[in-house]
Amino acid sequence: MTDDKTLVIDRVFTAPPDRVFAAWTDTAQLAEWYGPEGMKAEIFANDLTVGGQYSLVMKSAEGEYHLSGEYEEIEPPRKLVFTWKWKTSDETTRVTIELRPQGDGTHLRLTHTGFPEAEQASSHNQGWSSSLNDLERYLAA
Amino acid sequence: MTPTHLDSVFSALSSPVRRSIVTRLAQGGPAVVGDLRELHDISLPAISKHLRVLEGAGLVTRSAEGRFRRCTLHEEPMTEAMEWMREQAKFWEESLDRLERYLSQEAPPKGDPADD
Repeated sequence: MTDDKTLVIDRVFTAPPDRVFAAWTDTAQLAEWYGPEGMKAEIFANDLTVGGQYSLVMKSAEGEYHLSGEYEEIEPPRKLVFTWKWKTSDETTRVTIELRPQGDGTHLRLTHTGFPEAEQASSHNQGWSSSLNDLERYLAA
Repeated sequence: MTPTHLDSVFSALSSPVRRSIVTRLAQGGPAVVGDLRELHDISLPAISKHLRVLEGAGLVTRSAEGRFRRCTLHEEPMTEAMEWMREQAKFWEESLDRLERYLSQEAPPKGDPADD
């Protein structure tokens, strides 16, 4: 599915896919890195089964942000799909992590899709990102 | 901006016709409906429908001006939508930076060290 693309990020890690996959799924390892700079993640639940729930809080100087979701696909060490919902938000988005070996390391593609109900078929050829690039250009103009 | 409102902004911007209306209003300032029709070879009811969607998202307002209806762009909802996108991107970019550091601390890769 490439519809309704929200955000696609590609990264290459020097670690092999099984280690990258473990860092994404093992509770203790997740707590080591999850969340942006200046935030610390505390994980309350992490039921790594299809349909299993996770729940965590990101803490920063500005406040606490509760996040939860459900695992939808678990295919070690290649693919992980989970839903994503901030406590303060009505919308549930979806994150797909795809891993493939690249040399001794791993190529990771993260796809964060949102607004699955986007009404327009016409959106299908246009990622959100590119739409927003357009907007950014004109707002800057 | 509420999440529901954010949905309506993204939804409104998910159509090439509506994006071109937004671009036209941004670059050329307020316009009457007839001017906007020139952007696309579509019917008046069709352009009106697109304008209603943009209006619903708070991106455009229409005001009567004599026999015409003038459309004006409001950029605030878009700025907020862009901010939302940036926040998502920032979250992941910074998380992945940390993952990279974590993986390289945990056990250095065999052979040549991470040198980037």
